[in-house]
Amino acid sequence: MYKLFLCLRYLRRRYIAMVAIIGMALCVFMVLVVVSVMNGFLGLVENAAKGMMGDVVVDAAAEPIAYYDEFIGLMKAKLPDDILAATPVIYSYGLLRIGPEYTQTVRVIGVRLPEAAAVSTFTEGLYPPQLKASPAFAVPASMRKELLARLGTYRTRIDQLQSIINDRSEQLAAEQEKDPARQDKWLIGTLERNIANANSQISSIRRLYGYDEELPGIILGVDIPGTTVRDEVSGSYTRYVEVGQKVQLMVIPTGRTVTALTEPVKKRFTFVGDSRMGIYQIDSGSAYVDFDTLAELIDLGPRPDADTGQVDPGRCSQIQIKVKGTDNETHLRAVAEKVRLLWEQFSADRGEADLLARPTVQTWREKQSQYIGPIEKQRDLVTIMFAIISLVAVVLVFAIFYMMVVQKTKDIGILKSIGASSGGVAVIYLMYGSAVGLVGSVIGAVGSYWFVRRINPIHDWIATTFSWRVFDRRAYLFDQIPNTIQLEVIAGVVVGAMLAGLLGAMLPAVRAARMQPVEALRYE
Amino acid sequence: MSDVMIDVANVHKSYRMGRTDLHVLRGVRLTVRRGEFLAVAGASGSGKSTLLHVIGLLDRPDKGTLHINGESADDLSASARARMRRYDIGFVFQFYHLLGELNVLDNVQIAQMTGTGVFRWPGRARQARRDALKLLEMLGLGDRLKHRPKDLSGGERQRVAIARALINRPKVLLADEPTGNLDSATGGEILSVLKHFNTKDGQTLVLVTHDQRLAENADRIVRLTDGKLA
Ligand SMILES: Nc1ncnc2c1ncn2[C@@H]1O[C@H](COP(=O)(O)OP(=O)(O)O)[C@@H](O)[C@H]1O
Ligand SMILES: [Mg+2]
Repeated sequence: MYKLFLCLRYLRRRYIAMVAIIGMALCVFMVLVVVSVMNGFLGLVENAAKGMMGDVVVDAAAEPIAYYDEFIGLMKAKLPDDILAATPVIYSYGLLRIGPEYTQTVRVIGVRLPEAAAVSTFTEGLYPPQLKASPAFAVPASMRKELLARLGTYRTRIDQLQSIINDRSEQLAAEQEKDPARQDKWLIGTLERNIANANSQISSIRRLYGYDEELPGIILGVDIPGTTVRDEVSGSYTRYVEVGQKVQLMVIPTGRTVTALTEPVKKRFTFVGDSRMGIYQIDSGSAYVDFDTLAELIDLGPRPDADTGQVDPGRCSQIQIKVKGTDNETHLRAVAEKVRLLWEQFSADRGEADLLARPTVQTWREKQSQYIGPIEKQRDLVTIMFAIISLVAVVLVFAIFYMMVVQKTKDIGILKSIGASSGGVAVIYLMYGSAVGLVGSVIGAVGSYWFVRRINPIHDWIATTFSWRVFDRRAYLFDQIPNTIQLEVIAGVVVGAMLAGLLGAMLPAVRAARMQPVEALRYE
Repeated sequence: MSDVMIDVANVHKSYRMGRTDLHVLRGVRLTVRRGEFLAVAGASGSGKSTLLHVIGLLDRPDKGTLHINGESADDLSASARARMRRYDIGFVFQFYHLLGELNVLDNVQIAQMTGTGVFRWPGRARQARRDALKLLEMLGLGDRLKHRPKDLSGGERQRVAIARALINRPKVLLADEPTGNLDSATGGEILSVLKHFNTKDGQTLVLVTHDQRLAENADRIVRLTDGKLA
């Protein structure tokens, strides 16, 4: 009991305890922040991949997948307990033109809306809210009216330009009728330029700004250059492409056969909104269009044979499946295996072996390992770095506590000389170490919790105040620093730090306790 | 109950100094009677402290036997030795060796509580506090109870150390040059305190000093030379 008494007295006095508490707190803080951010990244990688692809993914192997709808129907019929929803997807590439200035290559993704909402998280990141509420490749009904009204102003503008053209043309004609010697060359040039200018304005209004209800819709990744500017501090976007505006997509119809004569096809779309998956690489380079529209555009849709009248079925690149029940990996693998077997049977029954080359069936985890391979590689590096940081922290905590107790060796001698037992003094310093360690690690844990939760505002504050941006979302996969901190991680780190501290305290305490009292007394 | 309080026989102690052995005690033989005031004199470095540490169970001799109050201390376990230090022996060091984190009262009190378990703590703590207060009053430190050792003068610190050594009413009080760091007036005070407990309570007192005048107060003086007592 005197042990506790002494221990409390120690804590009340000694600034060395303060130093040890701070040291402990810093180590715990450092490790927790690093682990949380790192875990957060890995978690984001996983969830992003899962969100994008659903639970189980059927990928075309050599040839695009034919009879996908039949197969989806079969899956739902044969595996009603496993399959919640499934949707086909097409992946292609194209050249996106927005206005006269921006041209960019994009990944063109053919999606079925609103069907995809049941499978992936695609629809959750849609903007404007009206589009998110009823996902479709069409301008939301509530916005259409306004657009049509605005169309009126465009018409007025075109009429204005047209009258300018008429006016200038008359002037030009009048001038040109004059005697060539008396013609004003400068005036003619100016008028000609005026006319050309007005004409090009009209055509660009027609091409780009006039809302055309007939055009199919397109959804663009929110980070595509030229469409938005992001405020790095608030994370909000200023949008420069308006809903209803026209954009142009150029694709090469590589669906079935590619020959030297395959010509790119251009198609105009109406911009209906943007998509944010939270992964910069995807959001800065993806354009989403309706599945059937894209299929037709790149020659993947059903094609009747002119001679035989038989229809060559449409194809898709991928079937995404949402699985019923838990999404733990064993369950998903079992479902993936069932899907694979079902495909074998499906393909055998149809007997069109060349059309039905066996696709790969993977769970999202299996799939993401290739999809986000580089990040997975980084994981090893980060793990090693984390191990080093932890080691440093452990050694630091150990050393701090070791020193803290070593400098109490003389006290141990005094206590022993007045009759304290060896075990007794060892316990005092273990208690002392635990108390200091507990206070320190609680401070560190609370501090890191606070810090990690606010890591994005803090980072933004640093970025604006010191113009020093550590986390550039272009360089990383995600546009936010992960800010979750798990309780079990906190518990693990605190326990680890406590163990290191207690070991550090115990060694000198036990050593001094085992000495003859005079030996300990001699320690200065 | 034997008349002999401390019995030291044939005690050897040497220190390793690099490659040579420094043979400090070479067969010390000493008997101290119950209630006796013994002074151990000797030149500086002659091994007086070493001997007192052996007697006070603060160190083990290389060879030889030690009996305290008729009980052999040689074969005792570490915890039995600790118990003996706690209840039978009081030790006063030349350099006080007080716990810097504790105030005067706590420094004295704690010596009485090192053997108290959790359940007896509240009662014993109150008792220890009363005892410590009484002792400190008696030693003229009644107004210094809440001070910490660093705020006290040398004489005051030594009186605290004496109170701590006496709180358990040990049979033997060992004082290693308790006045060595004090001026002669203060030294005289300390000596009279020690002598008071020796005569009044019949406490056996062994005082180590190289000060001849101090030694003359004792019932008997022994001199340590060449590792032996004469
Ligand atoms: N722990 C030790 N290690 C080495 N030498 C020691 C140690 N303690 C004491 N000595 C030496 O032993 C001798 C006796 O010391 P000590 O007993 O303190 O003498 P005294 O108290 O009579 O001055 C001295 O020469 C001293 O240097
Ligand atoms: Mg000495």
